[in-house]
Amino acid sequence: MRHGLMKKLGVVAAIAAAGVSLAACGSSKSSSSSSSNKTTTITFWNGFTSTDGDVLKQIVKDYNKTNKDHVKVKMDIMTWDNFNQKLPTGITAKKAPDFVAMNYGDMASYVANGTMKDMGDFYKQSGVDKSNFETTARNLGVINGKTYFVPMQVQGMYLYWNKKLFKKAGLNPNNPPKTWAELATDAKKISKLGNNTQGFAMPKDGSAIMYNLLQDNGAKLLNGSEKKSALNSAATKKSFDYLQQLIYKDGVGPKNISGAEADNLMLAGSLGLYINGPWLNSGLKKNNIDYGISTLVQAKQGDKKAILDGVGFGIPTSTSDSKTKAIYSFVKYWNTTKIGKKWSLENKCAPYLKSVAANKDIKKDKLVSTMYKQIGYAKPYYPGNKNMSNITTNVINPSIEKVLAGSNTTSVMKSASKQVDSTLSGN
Amino acid sequence: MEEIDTSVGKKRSFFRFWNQPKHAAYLFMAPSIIILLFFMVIPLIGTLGLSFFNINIFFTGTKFVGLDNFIQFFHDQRAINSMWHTVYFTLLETPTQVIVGTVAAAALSRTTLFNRFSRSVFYVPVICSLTTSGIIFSMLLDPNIGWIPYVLHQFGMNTPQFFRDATLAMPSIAVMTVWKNFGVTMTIMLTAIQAISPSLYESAEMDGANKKQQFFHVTIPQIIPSLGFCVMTNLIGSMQVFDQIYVTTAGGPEFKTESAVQYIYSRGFSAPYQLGYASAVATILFVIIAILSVSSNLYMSHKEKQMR
Repeated sequence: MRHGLMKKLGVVAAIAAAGVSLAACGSSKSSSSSSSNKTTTITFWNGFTSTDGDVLKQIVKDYNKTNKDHVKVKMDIMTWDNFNQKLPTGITAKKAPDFVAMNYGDMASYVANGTMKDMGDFYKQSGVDKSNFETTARNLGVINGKTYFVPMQVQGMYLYWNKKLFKKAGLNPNNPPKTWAELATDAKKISKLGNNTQGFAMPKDGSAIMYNLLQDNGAKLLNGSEKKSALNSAATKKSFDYLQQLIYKDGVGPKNISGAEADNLMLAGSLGLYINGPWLNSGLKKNNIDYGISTLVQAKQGDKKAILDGVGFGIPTSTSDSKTKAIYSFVKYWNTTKIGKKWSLENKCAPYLKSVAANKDIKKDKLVSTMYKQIGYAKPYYPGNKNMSNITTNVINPSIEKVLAGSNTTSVMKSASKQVDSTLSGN
Repeated sequence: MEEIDTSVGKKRSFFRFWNQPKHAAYLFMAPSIIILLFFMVIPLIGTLGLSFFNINIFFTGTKFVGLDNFIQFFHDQRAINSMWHTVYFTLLETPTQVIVGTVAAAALSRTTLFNRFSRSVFYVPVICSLTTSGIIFSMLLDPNIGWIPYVLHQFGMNTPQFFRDATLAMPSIAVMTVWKNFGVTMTIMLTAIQAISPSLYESAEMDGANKKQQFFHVTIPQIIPSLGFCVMTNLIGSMQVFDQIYVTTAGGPEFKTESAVQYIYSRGFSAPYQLGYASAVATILFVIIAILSVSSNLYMSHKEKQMR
């Protein structure tokens, strides 16, 4: 009884508190199932606000027009920030969309709170070939042995370089750095060009780059059981020192810059080297930047380490079974060779369906095939750990900021390690 | 027949009751009271209730923890820092805005074409949203593409990092907020100044008071109630600062501009979604604002009495 009252009280307070900030984000859901024409309308939230959103809109439009299952997808695209603010309140207020596309790093906390449906039976649907999915991609959505998410996109961090600036700095524009040490050497040369040209940008919220660097240097974030921090190590210190030397001491890039600002520098053609996901491709092409893309730099030549990340389809528990069937229809459509190919080629994304990877047009595309190489050896980073999102936002990103601002790297590392322990213990 | 008569009588007495000014007043107040009730009072009580629970935004694993969330606050360095940053912002913003608004009002109190034009111009930022203003200032002050750093650079000065500099970030946000909001203070003060009887200035002039003396010894004492109102509303607004910080620095660099409301928001509405703890911090902030508001109100009332 008290729990029920508390729940109601909580809902009122949470929704009222969230209401003002979220009101501007538009209506949360409009889902209906009309019995007269037997069309099932399913609502879909995601954060594809860039040019990839245009491709997604087109795919949804085509699906709505051509599907024979009488399903209509009603999509609401918002920034990932908005998405992550609206979805929890939406779930609590029973205003959640019927399905979502969510970043893998954010999924585990939703699953831990019992807000996502088990989608394991998706792979048993007729017309779905489970073996056509790359195992690593499929396993991204598996948490505690159950499939909560089905792949929509897989990605990693790649090395981008500005060929024009390489030439200006006397570097070979067709020979990008292969190691972190080479990256530092090249970045220094480019930063000396002056005129506000930056050699390399490390965003203060660049946890994805940091995790790759830590992994490459052999540092671990968590111990084997994932119950304690493993950050306090010589390898972590080496990684922190590397970034501090590069940005704070050598000044090859801006000291306090966000990911969005670093993207802008690359898009403006004034950044020589940058590490980012595949979404940067479309902007660079649009701005006519002469650039190259390669697999991520390594600690030493010949290493093959990278983190696999991506976006998956998920269904909140509030969605009815009849709508789940309709959602499976769309997800099945998405995971066809035709759509997979379109998404990969138009957004320059590595494919995760074997049939797409084998397609001759995909093989011909230099950018996509380069990225696909990395997907072959990339591995997810602490998949299914519900604390990862919290650790990234509240420990790793602030630590990066401190390292880039010149703070003592040993104290930053020790403090971060303590904070990770505190997060893992639930305090 | 009797029944119809009773109903008409009841209707008449109903209208007669609500027609009386002392009762009609409640009808006029009703919309505001209903809005306040649903959007202020109930959430306030809800927040207080939540602060005694360990509860996340999904309402799973709820547990009564008594005062634990309040105790946690005093051990949470980031939470305490966010309170200090809020106080620092308030100390920068509130006096500056009241002074700038009052001085501008005094300077523009005479109704001339130029003054009317200036008043309109100074009021324009008020109608812009804080988010828009934040984006404009972020671009203007950006060390790479900003116009202001560019101009300073042309004069041979080092380019300040403004929002990216731990020392300059909060003052930059305060300046932006003053620019955005001083038009409101100016308008209130202008009304107060224009209501001052011209005979007071004539008497002061006859006694040989110069403009400066007239401002401090005639204008200021006469506008104390409006001044008190502006100080109090600015104080409350500053203690709740959020939008401009969210847009310009997002609490950085190194949490140096993270305000209490922003901390509450990030604790409650992003991972780890600790709604109970966020509610406890919100309750503490509410108490601080209440104490500050009551104290400033009492001080201004006292000052008003003294001036009379």
